[in-house]
Amino acid sequence: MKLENIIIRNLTVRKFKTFLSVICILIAVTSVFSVYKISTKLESEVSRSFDEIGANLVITPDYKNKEVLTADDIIKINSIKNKENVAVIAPKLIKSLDVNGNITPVVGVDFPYELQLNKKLWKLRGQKPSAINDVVAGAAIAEKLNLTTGDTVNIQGKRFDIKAVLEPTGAADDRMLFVNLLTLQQLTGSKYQLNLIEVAAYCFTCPLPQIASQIQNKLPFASVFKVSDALKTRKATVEKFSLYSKVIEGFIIVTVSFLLFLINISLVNERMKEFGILRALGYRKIQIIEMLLSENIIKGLAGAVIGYLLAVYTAKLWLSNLQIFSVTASFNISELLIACVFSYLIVVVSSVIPAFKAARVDPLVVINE
Amino acid sequence: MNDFIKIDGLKKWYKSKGVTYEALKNITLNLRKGEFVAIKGPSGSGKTTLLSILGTLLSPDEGSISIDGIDITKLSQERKADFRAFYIGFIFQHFHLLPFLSVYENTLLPLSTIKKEKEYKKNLAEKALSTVGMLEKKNKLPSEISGGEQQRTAIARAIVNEPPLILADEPTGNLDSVNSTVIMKHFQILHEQGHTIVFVTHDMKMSEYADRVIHVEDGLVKKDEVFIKEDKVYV
Repeated sequence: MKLENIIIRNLTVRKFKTFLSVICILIAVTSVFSVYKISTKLESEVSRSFDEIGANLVITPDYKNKEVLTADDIIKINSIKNKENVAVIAPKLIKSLDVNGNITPVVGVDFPYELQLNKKLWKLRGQKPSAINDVVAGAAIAEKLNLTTGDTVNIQGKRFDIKAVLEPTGAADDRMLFVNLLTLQQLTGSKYQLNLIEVAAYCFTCPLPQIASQIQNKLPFASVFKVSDALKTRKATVEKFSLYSKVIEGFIIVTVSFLLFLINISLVNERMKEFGILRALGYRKIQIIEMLLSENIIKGLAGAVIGYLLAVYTAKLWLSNLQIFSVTASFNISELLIACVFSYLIVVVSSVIPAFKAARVDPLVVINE
Repeated sequence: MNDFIKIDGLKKWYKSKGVTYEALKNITLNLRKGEFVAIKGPSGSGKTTLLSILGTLLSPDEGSISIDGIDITKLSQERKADFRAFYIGFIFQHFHLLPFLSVYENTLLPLSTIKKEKEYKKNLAEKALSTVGMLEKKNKLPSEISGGEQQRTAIARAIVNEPPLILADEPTGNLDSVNSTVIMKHFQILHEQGHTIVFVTHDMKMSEYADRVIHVEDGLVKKDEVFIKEDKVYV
């Protein structure tokens, strides 16, 4: 017979209160961790989207002073303090040129960077451009000029191959032809010149205004614009969700702790005779406290494990019903351990006062009752 | 024989609503090891208070009390708990068994905080249960046995760790005469085995089992009788 035996026996004898305590902890862990999983998944998805969907900074020359951007400016952008936050730098030269007899906007791009910048937005019907005379045609211009993959096209007297046609994007890209930047610079006699640089930064957590300001300092004769796009709205939504969820989590933690405290106080009141007898038999106060805390820790761990599994399931279900993001929640052993620590803290906080009350019982009063 | 318990000038008073009530008024007593003592007196005489102080469950307001050379009035609450665990076996009027533990598990309770092998504890518990004739019912819950059997279980619990002192507060107060006799006979056996037993009773018949009867009235020792076999000796 050890203290553990008494602990286990108490848990099984008082089934209803044990069940009630486990349910309380389970509700706390499930709600806190499902909300946590959902908000962190959404945050990481938004963060990822900033990189995937497109640029969030656009740099143009200062047209008033007739300045131009050059390849050197890319090196300057790469030397800013927050360069770690810069994911992609996509330089562009935009010209209106004669394409099969039609004046069409032609954009010179560095295809590897451009494809990375637009990897979510661009869906290529055809192959990735690799040769210097490869062309990617926007959906609308391809339809207008009757171009398909494998066709050739004449731009400013030079022959180009249509390597891919973009699926409609709903953006200006639909009305443009994309060619190799160097080829266009040579073709138009604008060697080294650029008239647009798009920069994509990992900016869910990074300070976009600071990056913009650092670039502006490096390129004083250029204009740096921050792009406002749907992601910002999404980010704001996710931030609001995170804030509300934190408030709800706090409320749940306080409520559950209070409920557990009430259950524990009621348990202690119910068991005063037991504690009095144990004290009379020579049990130390610390042993009574240890006994009660251990009982609650066992309940807490049971609640934490079941609660965490329920949280994963709930988060999965919720995220699968979410239309705007394609994310899912999964089981994570570290999170389970955190859930156990979290539940341990709730349990200890809610049972310290009842445990001390139990330990302070006067055995004489109980025995003479 | 050396004195096992020395009580000197013991006083205890209670205060209630500004009124002080003296429960014990200067008690001085010496008890020897192996004595079988009954503390007798009417209700409110202070006998249970005296037993509670002996059992370290209550602290006196004045005077000293030492058991086996240890001044228990100077012990901290936690040291008193340790003292109870090793020195004292308690038997209560209302048995006070834990209802969710079996007879065997209740008997083991005083051993649960001691770091000893399971087999060692099992042997002690079975020996104690066997002494009171409860070994066959060791798996029963308290609710499944009679009052007399519950008190025998409580005796087994009190003697399981072989304490030098057994204290019993009205041990037969909740039992019929047949069961009361059985319990007192068990006390006699324990006494013969060398245990020091002090019990409180208001029942003349039960006090006759003891070999010393201390009469307490109004917080004072009125009479201290020692019985040697059939002869009555006034001390």
